[in-house]
Amino acid sequence: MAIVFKEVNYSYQSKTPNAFQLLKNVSFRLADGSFTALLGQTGSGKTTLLKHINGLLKPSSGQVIVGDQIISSKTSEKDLADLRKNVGFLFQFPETQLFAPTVLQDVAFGPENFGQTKPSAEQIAKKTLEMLGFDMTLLNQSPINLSGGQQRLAALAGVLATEPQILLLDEPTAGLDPSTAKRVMILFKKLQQEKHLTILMATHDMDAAAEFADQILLMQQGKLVKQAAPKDMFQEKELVFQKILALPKVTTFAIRFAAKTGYTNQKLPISEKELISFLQRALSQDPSGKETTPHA
Amino acid sequence: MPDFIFGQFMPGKSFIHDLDARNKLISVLLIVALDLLTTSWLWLFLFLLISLLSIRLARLNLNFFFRGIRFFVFMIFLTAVLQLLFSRGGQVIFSWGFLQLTQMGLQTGVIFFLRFLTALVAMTVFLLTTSPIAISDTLAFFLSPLKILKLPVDDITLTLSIALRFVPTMIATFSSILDAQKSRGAVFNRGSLLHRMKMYIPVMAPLFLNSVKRAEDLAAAMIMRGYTDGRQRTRFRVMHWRLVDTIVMAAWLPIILLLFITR
Repeated sequence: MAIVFKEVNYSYQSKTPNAFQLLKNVSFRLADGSFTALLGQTGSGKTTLLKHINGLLKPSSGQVIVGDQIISSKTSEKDLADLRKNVGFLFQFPETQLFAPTVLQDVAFGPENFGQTKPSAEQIAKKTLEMLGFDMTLLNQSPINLSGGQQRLAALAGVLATEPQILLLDEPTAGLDPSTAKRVMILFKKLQQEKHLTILMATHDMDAAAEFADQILLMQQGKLVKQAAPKDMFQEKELVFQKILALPKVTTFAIRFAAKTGYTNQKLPISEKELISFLQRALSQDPSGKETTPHA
Repeated sequence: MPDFIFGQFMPGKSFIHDLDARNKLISVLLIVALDLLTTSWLWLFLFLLISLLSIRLARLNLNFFFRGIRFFVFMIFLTAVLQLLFSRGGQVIFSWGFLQLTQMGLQTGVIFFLRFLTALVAMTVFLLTTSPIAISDTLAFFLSPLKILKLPVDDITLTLSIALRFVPTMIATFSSILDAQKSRGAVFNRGSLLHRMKMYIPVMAPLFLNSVKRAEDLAAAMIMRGYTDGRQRTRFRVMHWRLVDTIVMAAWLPIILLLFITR
């Protein structure tokens, strides 16, 4: 399902002295089956934007179009419930939403709400947990007794079990150990490629954005600053200088390398593979290559 | 849920904000008590007027204020209507089936509504204009005589102020869990009453769990910073009773006297 924002404005508590505009004239289009990273500093409006896509918030003005459903300020709560069937939302620190006596029941909560019978909901729940590599011996444990990583997987399974076509992720790997984080990211990529899910992920992890996303949305103070593919986005040194954008580790390395060696007339690398060829080219062109080995 | 303002503090600068918290608390208690003592329309409306005036004096936006308390106003109104229909006596004005609107019922209903509305407005203004620290200091001040009875007044007020401090945090946690469960297809406004209550389990269970965790973290953080118990603490913020506070207190005297004379 494609996602389209048309001149979306959103104000919090619009009729109070606290009124604060969180989204300012945001317009963009995300193609069906794309993987997009949503970048921006804390408070730039990333979560607010995500909440518009499954109707937890309605635009104060403008339109959000998800598939063929249009959400405006006048959309009724009932239509939004239908929308949520197609849109899965993994919140920040999603383990806080676990509530049921057992993991299995918790994961089955979503599919049951969307009209599955209890046995088939539990079937889907088991399948989803298995796909995530969840330790199946813990199936009938209380989610409270699980480790942090297993809790996160259980919560993720709870969202994926609703079999959404769009997946909204709000910092899905924050606070996870590196190997679980990597595994989860690879799984998201697989879901996009194999099940044709449209994924929008708010993140502060530039390395993950560079590696997994097809395109990037960059937000600042409620405005959409730029929409571009990662390889183009991370060339924007001006945005980095203004502290609106951060860079992947390899890109930062390449910039520092270039500053030391004076080698600047090349596109900056955003992956390890690109970094290697960047260095090879830089070193082969430089006559005094021996002195400029990369330990910037 | 974001409209809920009861228990929140709105920092600001106004006549009401600057009054001493002790003065404000006494005034609120006086309004509530006097309002319960009188049945005269004149007095009831006068007290309502005073509490409404205090919203203006606190420079609070009226629209914002009433949106924030409309849930409570609605509950009071509902209770008043029940009073209106089920208290009998006096002349019958209107009857329909077993329902009967009597003069007596009308009077109790309206008085009930006015009294509770006044109390609600006064209390909300007090909470909106007084910082949690000032509230707990005030309670500590009024409870301090009980120290003679070996009551741990400082601990009690600290607990109270922490509880007040966490009201907005709890509301924020509540709405984020609500959003998460809504995203998983939970619908809260459909079905029978029992079904609706059941739908809140997925929200309330994690909320309580979270609160317990937060309390544990807070306790650990306090111990790490060397907090033992509240005895013999000195205060960074000292309460300051000014001339204007004395004037406000003095203004209550003729009101109280008049009220008792005209009773």
